[in-house]
Amino acid sequence: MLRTFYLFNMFMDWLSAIIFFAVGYLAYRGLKLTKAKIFLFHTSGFMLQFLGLLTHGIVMLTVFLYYPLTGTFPKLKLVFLVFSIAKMVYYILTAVGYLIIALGYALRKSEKYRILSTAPILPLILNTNFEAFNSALTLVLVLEAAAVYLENRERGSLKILMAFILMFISHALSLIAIIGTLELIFIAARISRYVGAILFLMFLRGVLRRVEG
Amino acid sequence: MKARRVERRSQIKIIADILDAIVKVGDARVTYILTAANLSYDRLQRYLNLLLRQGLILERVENDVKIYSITKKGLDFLREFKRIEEFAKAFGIPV
Repeated sequence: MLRTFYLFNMFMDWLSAIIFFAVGYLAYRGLKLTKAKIFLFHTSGFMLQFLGLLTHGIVMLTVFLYYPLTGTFPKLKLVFLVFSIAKMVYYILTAVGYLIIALGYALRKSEKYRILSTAPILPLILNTNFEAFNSALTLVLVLEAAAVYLENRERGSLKILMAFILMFISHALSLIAIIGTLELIFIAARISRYVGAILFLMFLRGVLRRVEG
Repeated sequence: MKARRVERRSQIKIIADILDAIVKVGDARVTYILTAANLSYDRLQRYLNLLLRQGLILERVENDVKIYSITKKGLDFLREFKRIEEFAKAFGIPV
């Protein structure tokens, strides 16, 4: 089952990469033919998407060929590390790609709905991408902090864990708030972030007190 | 009173319109291209000279009348332009 899902994912990655390359290439031909700079945004945007998917696809293929998904833990650890880096590269390139394409749309000339359509889209793209990215990153930090706390059961570690949990909640709530345009959830997200920051402050205070003591 | 905005055609669009007009009839006279491409006589002459230099059209004289026909290079250019125009339209890019 896992193997089938993995193969399907890999196939879709490669297929999407080819499609994005084709779109980017067509935009490049448009740039060459018309010399209209707006095509440059679409070319670079789709090429970045292609590069992101290509990176991910290559890593998936390499893992499939050389590191089968069954194996000893150290081997799997390496595989997951490589996967994480590939995912990060993929997400960054995808986010930047979307952003550039959105900028291309924003630069359209003499369109009736130009401002209407692009003004809310740009921050939305920026926010959703980065909030999703940050949610994933803070979730990793939560898991790491939880592992540390379970090991030493220190009050400082607990504060860090709580702070990261609040940071994660903040990013996740922000994402929900942006997608659903829910003001109250956005406020809750902000409060969660501030409480997280206060917990960091409390942790610093505790550390400094101990040093002074 | 609202002023009507007139969309200006880009140079490449004008070239494509001229080529398109020629393709429609095969062999085209200046008067036909003038109306089909919606250009003034002077501007059309400038464009026709440009297209001749680029090898996109051919000119021959029959009974003291200039006749224009499209070359293979011109056809390829027109095909490529139409493809790009379709792509650009989908993304809302003016060509």
